Amino acid sequence: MTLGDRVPVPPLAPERLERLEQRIVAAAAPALARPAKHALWPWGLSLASAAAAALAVLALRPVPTPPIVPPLVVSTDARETIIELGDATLAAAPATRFDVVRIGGGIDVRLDHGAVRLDVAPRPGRPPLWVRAGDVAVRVVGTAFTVARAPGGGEVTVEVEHGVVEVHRAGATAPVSGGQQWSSRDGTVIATAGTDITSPGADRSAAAAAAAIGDGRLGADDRHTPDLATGPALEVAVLGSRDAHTPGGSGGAIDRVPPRATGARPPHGDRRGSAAPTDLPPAPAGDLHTRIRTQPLTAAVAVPGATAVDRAAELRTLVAASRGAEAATALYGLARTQHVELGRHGDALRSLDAYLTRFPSGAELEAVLWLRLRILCRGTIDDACRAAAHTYATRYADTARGDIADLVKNSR
Amino acid sequence: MTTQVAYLEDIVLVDRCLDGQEVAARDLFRRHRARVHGSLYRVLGSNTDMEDLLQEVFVQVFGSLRSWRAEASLATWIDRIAVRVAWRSIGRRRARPPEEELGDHDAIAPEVGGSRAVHAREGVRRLYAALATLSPSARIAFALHEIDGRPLAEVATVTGASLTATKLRVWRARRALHALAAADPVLREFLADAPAPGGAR
Repeated sequence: MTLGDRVPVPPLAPERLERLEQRIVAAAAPALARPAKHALWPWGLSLASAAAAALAVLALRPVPTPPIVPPLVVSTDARETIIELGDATLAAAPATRFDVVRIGGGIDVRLDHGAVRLDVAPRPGRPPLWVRAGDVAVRVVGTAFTVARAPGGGEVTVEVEHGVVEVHRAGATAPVSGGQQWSSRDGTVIATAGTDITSPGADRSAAAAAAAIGDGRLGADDRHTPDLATGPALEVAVLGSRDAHTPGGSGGAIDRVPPRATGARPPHGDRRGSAAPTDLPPAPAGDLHTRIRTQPLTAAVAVPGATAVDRAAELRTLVAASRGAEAATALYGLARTQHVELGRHGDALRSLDAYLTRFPSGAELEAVLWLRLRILCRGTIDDACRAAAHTYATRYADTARGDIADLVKNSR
Repeated sequence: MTTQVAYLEDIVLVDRCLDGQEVAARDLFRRHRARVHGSLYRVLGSNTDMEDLLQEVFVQVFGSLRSWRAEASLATWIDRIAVRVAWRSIGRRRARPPEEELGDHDAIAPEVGGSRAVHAREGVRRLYAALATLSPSARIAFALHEIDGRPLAEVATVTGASLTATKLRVWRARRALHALAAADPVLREFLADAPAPGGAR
């Protein structure tokens, strides 16, 4: 007989559980309400949950650091596999490999090889669903479209049937409308023939869907057309990033970069390591701010908290209560939260300076130096910005970010 | 594929919750309440304030649901929150007069009756009185591993400690309990089958 057998758990009475469930669901309702259309972060959480989270922050000392676990990876065999994802249906073709992660409340489907077709219900006011194929990311915001990826991480094409999609690649954002096709080969948008753009609500037939799968394409169908400029997570479209959003940056406006391909190298931090085409024209040297902003920030430790203020408080507690690598991780997370979520750039810089003083060889050093560059270069590119860029470029010369830092430090 | 399906179910369930679907929130609560209740009970040794504690856990869960990044399973993520709540509760209970603890005598299975029940109840009371002398970290690690039956690695994950630290905490707790049991026949008998401090599991 184990100790567990000797300490049985007496169940709570059903009526007590029922009352408890009612109370919890009622208390949770504000937190689970859909965010306002223009909100960049779900601020609409209840005061009660915020207070509870704040109390937990104060009361608990070592805050557990969630382990970094690889995202779910699904590999199909010789059969097509269909998975219901609530308001989305995912059909994976035979011999397909993809992974699924949640980012900022949204769903991220990342195709490694093969084909996946997605049918997505409208997601108004909710974090977006992304489909990524190599270094191309497509934001599902209100359209029916097909993405095809050639074997071996080759050319990616995005063909839009109706509505508009955003194709993100290497910092560029290309809106592609119904009846148009985008190709990663040259980054151009061309008109396609035979696409019915007069029936935006029409479902594709099963045969068309099967053909898409059979051709090695993937598709998504979101029968809703919200305002593209109001959705959250506008800067998350860089590959491999777990960044949810960057409200301190563009304030929610899409970087309307003309459709183009900018550089052949995947962004820094892309852990997929997918091959990118190398026959693309070089990016213009201008618009450094856009290139800096669209680089993904390295993910930080996730801590609970109803609001960014709560999370910052919890990270501060963790910094104070821990040592070594744990404190370093928390300090970077604090700086990131202060900059990205709270817009307190001065505080963020102080946190970063504290990091560099305490952990000059910390595991997050690269992320810290990039974040510092990003903050110092968010306005005028002045001497402080160039100095930060110089520091970064010196240490990380052979990276995509290093190239950008090099451009910044040499800019006039 | 079972783990993957469960993982996808978590993702879907959270997505539905974040869509404001009340039925999804109820589903999430019902799926996880028994496990959370069991863990809290095994750590604290009493159903005193249990409804409040469960409410505290799940309000935090729903309040932070948007920050769940699926880096760990939803159950693990919820358990981390439950451990924090248990930790806080231990602090609060330490501030109470001792006689208020274990007042509900509900730690004994209903089918155990008569003098055996009294004896078992007394054993549980002394176990938790002994656990109350430990640090919260040692108490939680011991309770989750030895009483709730979770593997050490899982305990380490939900408490945010390293595996080594978790082993050390459990070992210290065992050592302290066996030291107390040496002078307490009831506790000694209650712990009779529990691993000795040097034992490995």
